[in-house]
Amino acid sequence: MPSSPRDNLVNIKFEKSPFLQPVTDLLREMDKAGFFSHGLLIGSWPMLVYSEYFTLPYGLATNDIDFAVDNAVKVPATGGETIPQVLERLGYTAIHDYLGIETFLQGTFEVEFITHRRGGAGPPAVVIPPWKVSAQPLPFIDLLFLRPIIVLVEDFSIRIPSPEALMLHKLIIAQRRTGRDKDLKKEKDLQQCSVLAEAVRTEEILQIIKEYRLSKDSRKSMLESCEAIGYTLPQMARV
Amino acid sequence: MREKEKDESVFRMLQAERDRCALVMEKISNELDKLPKGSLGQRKVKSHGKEYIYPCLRYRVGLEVKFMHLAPEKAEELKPALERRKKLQADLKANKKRVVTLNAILPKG
Repeated sequence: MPSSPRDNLVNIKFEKSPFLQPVTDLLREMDKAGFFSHGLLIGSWPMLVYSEYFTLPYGLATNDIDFAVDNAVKVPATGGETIPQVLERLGYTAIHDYLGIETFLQGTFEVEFITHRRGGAGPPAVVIPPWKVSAQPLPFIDLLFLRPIIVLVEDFSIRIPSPEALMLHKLIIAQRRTGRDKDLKKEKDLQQCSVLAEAVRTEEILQIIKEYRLSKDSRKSMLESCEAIGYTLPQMARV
Repeated sequence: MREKEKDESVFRMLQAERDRCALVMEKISNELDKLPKGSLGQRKVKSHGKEYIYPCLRYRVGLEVKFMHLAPEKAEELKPALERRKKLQADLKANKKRVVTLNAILPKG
């Protein structure tokens, strides 16, 4: 019996990059710098990978490029360029907002780094060694690091969250959005969840729920999101 | 009905992207406020039959172009900030253009 692409989801391979040229160039350089050993491409760009790979009806990727970075102090130093140096070489300009959050700009592209925040309030930005990159700590980012997917693109590779981790993450954060654009972001999160629901593996969803210690509030958020998109989270009551 | 809902969600995503660009423009404008204005040039001054060349900063105040004499070291010091300003102005322009494009796609009101 021929295996479906979904059965072999360890690596995804693209002979031709599905990304826009500036994004491809950026990802190639980030890979060269060794970033993806402890980092992930997150935000709307993994959706582009999954929509191409699974032929899902979702094609919108915005021009903000978010990376999740593992807040590990023992990441081995590469000895090469730091991430800000790589970005500067590619023509990105670093700017800081009043909270100290660093953003790299190039035309309409906006690059930001995010790391996992443990517990409640903390500093608005932390510098991650050895990348020397300033990342914004946010909750639930560690969820995205559970069994990520390696994507081989032309001559380089990147890591992205698995569709299951991405979907569970979006189900939780959709209900926790704050700020003036929270409704639009919530809708986008839920839209992505309903698209990903067509590709996720039930057993992997269950495995993540089992591994990741979800609080009562997080479970409630997930169930609210599931209800909003008409998705039945497998055996949620049992875990 | 379902198709109509889908169309509307696409518009709302485009609206979110437009709002993101507007936020980026705000960030750039705040950064531009911190940077010196103008461009570096040279000014020739004739005095006592001799011609002296000074580095200067040219900048505009309303319709008038102002010149500010600078010490050569000061001019070197200003160079990176002026280049940064030029780059950010180009980024601002790119974002403005994207907002205009998105506004043209999005329904009015």
